[in-house]
Amino acid sequence: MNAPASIPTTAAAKLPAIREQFPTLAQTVHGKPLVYLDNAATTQKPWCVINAIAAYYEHDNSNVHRGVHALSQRATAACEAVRDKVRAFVNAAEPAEILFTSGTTEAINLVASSYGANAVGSGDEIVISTLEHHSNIVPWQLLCERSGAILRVIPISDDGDLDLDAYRGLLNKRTRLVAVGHVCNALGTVNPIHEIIDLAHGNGTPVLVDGAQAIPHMPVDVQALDCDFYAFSGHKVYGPTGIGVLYGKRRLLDAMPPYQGGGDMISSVRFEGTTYNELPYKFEAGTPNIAGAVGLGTAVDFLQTHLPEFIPLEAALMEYAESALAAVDGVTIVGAPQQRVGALSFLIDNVHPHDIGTVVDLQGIAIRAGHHCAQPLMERLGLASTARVSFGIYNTTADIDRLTAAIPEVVRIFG
Amino acid sequence: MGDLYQDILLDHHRNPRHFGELGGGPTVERKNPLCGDAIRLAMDPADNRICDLRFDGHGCALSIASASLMCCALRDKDAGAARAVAAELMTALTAKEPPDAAGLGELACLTTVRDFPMRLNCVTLPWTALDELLGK
Repeated sequence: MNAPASIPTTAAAKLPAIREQFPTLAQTVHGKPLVYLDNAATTQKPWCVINAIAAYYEHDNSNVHRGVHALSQRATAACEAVRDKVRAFVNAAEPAEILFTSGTTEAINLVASSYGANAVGSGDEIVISTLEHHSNIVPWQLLCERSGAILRVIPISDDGDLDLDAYRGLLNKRTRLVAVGHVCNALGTVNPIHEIIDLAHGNGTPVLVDGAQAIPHMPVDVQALDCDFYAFSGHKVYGPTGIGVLYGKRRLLDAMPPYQGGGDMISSVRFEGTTYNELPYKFEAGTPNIAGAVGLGTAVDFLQTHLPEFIPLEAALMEYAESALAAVDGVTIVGAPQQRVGALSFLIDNVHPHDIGTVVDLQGIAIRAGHHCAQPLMERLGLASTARVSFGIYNTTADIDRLTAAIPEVVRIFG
Repeated sequence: MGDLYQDILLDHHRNPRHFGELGGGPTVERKNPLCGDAIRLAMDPADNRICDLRFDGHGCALSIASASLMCCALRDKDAGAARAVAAELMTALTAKEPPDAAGLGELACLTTVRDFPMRLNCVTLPWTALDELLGK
């Protein structure tokens, strides 16, 4: 097992203070202190986010953009301040390129529906990869069914890395969009996203990046990446559920038809015809998740404060987890991608991952078991499911030690 | 919190009865969308009785043991009696009050899943397949 000496000590020394900011962590589950290792599914929420949402409802609750009264002004200002905060967070050129959605899934559906409506026709091609989450597969399948377009899939190596040579071969004059994850939720593979984008652009093809599993773990600069769309969820970055972000280049967003009809997305409505609002409101029909946006803004502040120290700490934690798990009899780590962040899948000989999940849950340890909404990837790996640990800003080597200590009990029951 | 993995359940998981080689009778397959587990059930009905009930597939300890226990419990029963057993088990799994599972025999060990609602579908997977099979 790796010596804990590889853990950056200054950052590690701050972990108790960080953990104190997360009320959910301070509980026992089945009589044992909770170890939460399911952060790729959702992260826990710090007091600052919980309090910001409560304070919004306590003091400022109102609808946005419509009222002339003080509360509506405050709610509107709060929402727009978060939009600009997120713009700075991902380094978009302007706030109008930041659209609020309910999450990554809706952001991808928005692009599939709206970009797809104009730009994708019969015989055109969409490129995705074997590593995708269902939410970056099914919207494109629906688009293909509607339009007669064809879905092309970048294969992977046995280690869980994308086959870039095969990707080059998939790009052609009919390729209308490349939609790939930045980080794979099941294996933690970090995709060579710069190269993927450069190759697509060399082919004249825009790229959507599903950033749900990347944005909690690394700085993302959409202008440096030059991606055309970037989607992520608030609840995976310590914010609330029900709020997410779609970044899109203005040039593309301007050309796209509205996604949904309703209030806020119009500038004037007459029965003879409706004029749509300008960006970003054209894509934000109906009352948005205002409290969610407020919580997201606070979460972005929280993440930005802690990310510089978290990145090396998490890299060390991943290394520690890989060697600690691999050292346990009967445990196999799934995949060996060139770069891994956030999530680590493993198997135990002759034990179904759901049974692993239940037995370690009885020890107070929350992990994920299943296909991780990546069934095509599981099929490629020849697996029905895996057990997965995934890290957040509050995880410690002691959490990993608790997990590895619980595995002999799993083996005892089922071995 | 009951003991989910009782010895009898683990025994049926490790040594599933009536597993493999489905034969030529009617067959159904059911999958659990949560985990990708799949069970195939086959029946050889003769004289209006389930003279052979078999399964194959892959799954967790709960779904495999549930299928194995089901095959043991329902062989030689007619369709009506099999449905009655299935209904009694479903009630025991889902009723608000803890059930009197005495009539279920060995199947009673499955009712500990009541304390693990996230795992209920693992236990019911083969029984939903049975429901479809009996409808054929």
